[in-house]
Amino acid sequence: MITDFQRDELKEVVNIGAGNACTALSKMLGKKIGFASPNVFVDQAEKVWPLLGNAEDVVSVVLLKIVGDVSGVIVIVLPAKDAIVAARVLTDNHRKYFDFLDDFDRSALKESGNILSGASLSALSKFLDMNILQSVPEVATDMLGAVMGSIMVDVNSKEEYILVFNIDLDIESVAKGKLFFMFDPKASEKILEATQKKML
Amino acid sequence: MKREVTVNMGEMAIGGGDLVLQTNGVGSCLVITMYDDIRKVGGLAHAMLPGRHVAGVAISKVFQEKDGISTGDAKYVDEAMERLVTGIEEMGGSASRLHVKFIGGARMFHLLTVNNFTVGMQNVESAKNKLIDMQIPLESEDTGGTIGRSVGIDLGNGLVTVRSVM
Repeated sequence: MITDFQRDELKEVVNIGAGNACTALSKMLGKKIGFASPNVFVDQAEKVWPLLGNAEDVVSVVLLKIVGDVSGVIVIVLPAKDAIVAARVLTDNHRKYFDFLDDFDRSALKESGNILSGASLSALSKFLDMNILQSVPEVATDMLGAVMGSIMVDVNSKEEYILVFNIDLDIESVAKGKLFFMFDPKASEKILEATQKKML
Repeated sequence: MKREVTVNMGEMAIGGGDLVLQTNGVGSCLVITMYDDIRKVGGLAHAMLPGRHVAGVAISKVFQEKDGISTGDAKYVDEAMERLVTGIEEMGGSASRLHVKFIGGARMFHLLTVNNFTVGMQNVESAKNKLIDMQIPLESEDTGGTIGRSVGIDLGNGLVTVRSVM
């Protein structure tokens, strides 16, 4: 599907983006946001989400669409409990009890998704000389299979195999999540081409 | 003791009265259950997309059989329904006695709506068109909305259970 060299190239590009993004968010909030180096793979869309857990696990998902020269989606997956903790950290304990996500929490999660992906994508588009934009974010909490399945089906409705970047996030060492960039195959070809031009 | 079989996304299973078929986390996908209450055979398919959109491709009727359970590919709604009927007929059921139910087809994200149409809605529509083609009535449906569902069918009595966490 992709060679090791191409994989390393793409990894580096996304690493730059994610690095920027986490720095931006952690500077703004004054909180520690850690991230692991990205995982890159090409697989069938429906095989991606079972890596995250059982179909019935309840998760909160922030979804953004990538539009412009390349298309795909950005997904941040947090287990429901971690999402609540993350919201508490992000909003500096604005409520006394946190047992569910209210509108304010959801808005905070959306905004951090916005910052994370905005910074990543602007780094990516600068590096690749491409016009890459993002849609407004959306948050949903439901069964893993239901939310991720729906996203996968949308990505999959065009092509069979997709390019996936997976980055582990860590918010103040109390909440853990996963950040996914998923590009459809046409987009990944374009990205590879642009990367090779850049490397010459 | 009933044997419980978990059906993954894009797959299907057909079997007899000693089975409980279960599938979890149904979002915009569509689950189709079919049950013949006389012969006590039935099946469940967890389909992802409305159709293959390629004309002239013959639908393979390949099943893997093991321990009295037939399983097969069920990525597309229309193909999955055809396979379910064939599989149930192979096990002695009859298309004219089938109790058909649809579950799923939700809209999980507004962002994934294109021209006011979601994949979920298209799945339901495709399934209904296929039923008209096959001249089988629809018994009931629990489709649409914005919640995920988990579905089980007891092939001993045809009882379908739908659960959601939200």
